[in-house]
Amino acid sequence: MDEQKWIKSILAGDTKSFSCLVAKYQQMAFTIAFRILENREEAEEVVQDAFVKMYRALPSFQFGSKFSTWFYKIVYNTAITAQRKQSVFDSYDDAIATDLTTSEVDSATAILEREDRKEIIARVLKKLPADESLVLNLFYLEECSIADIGQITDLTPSNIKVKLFRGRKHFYETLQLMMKNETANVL
Amino acid sequence: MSTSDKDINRLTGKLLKEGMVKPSPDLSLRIMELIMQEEPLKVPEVKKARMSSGMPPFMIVGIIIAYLVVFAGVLMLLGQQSAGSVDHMLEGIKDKLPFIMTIAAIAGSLIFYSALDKVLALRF
Repeated sequence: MDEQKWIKSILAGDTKSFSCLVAKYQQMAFTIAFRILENREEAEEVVQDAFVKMYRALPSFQFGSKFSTWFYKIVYNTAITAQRKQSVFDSYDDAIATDLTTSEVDSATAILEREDRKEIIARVLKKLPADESLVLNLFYLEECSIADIGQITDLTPSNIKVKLFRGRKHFYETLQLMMKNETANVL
Repeated sequence: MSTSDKDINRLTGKLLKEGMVKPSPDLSLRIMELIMQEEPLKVPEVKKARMSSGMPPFMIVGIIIAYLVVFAGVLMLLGQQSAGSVDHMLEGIKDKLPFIMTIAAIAGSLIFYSALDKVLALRF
């Protein structure tokens, strides 16, 4: 594993090896912080703090656990502290989102053909509740398992599953709504 | 719904990747500047396990003395026997030799591999 090699070099005094960790993890760290804070500057501040915290804590890192999960937990906690809230997560209720409809999936597929898709998807993600957006990003972008997300956010597996399901539904609903509004505006 | 869950997962991942917000290009430089200002890391000293059986020294010396006493006793016993009876004794041992050799080999291997395991654990 690359991380193991880099961490050993850093611990041996080669601070420049840290740039490898920065290159590999800064994007996801920024995504986590940005989803929680919804502000680019604050998210970047949080990422910087999180990397410094991680550097200081490196001697205590046990290779038995997954490095990415351990680091994302630091990013998550730093972002939560910056947000001055106890938790980004709303109180958990048992309401279950309904499954995706064909038209929702069709709108999402159609958007991939558009040139301005990046902006549209970014706008949709901004409209989503922070907790759902964060869980979606960890699951689909970083391919974190439910257990990994649980370690990062301290949520229970069933809670994560509900948030994933609900987040996905909200994402597709918002995307479809945005597409409809755009079409109505053009007409 | 005709689309499978696997397809939806793939589509969701693709869409989220498209909507990913990138940090400023100089963020990594700023992070590295902060890291370079940090003091060198102090790695906690890991005390290496001593290559011993874990027994106190007086116990090890005691066992050696006990072995020497038993060995001397056996030699004295053999010295007191007449030449004929020594041959007879050796004849008796001959039958049990394979068994003694097997036990000695197993015990020897056990001691060797446990010592090797300790050495490897200390080095890596």
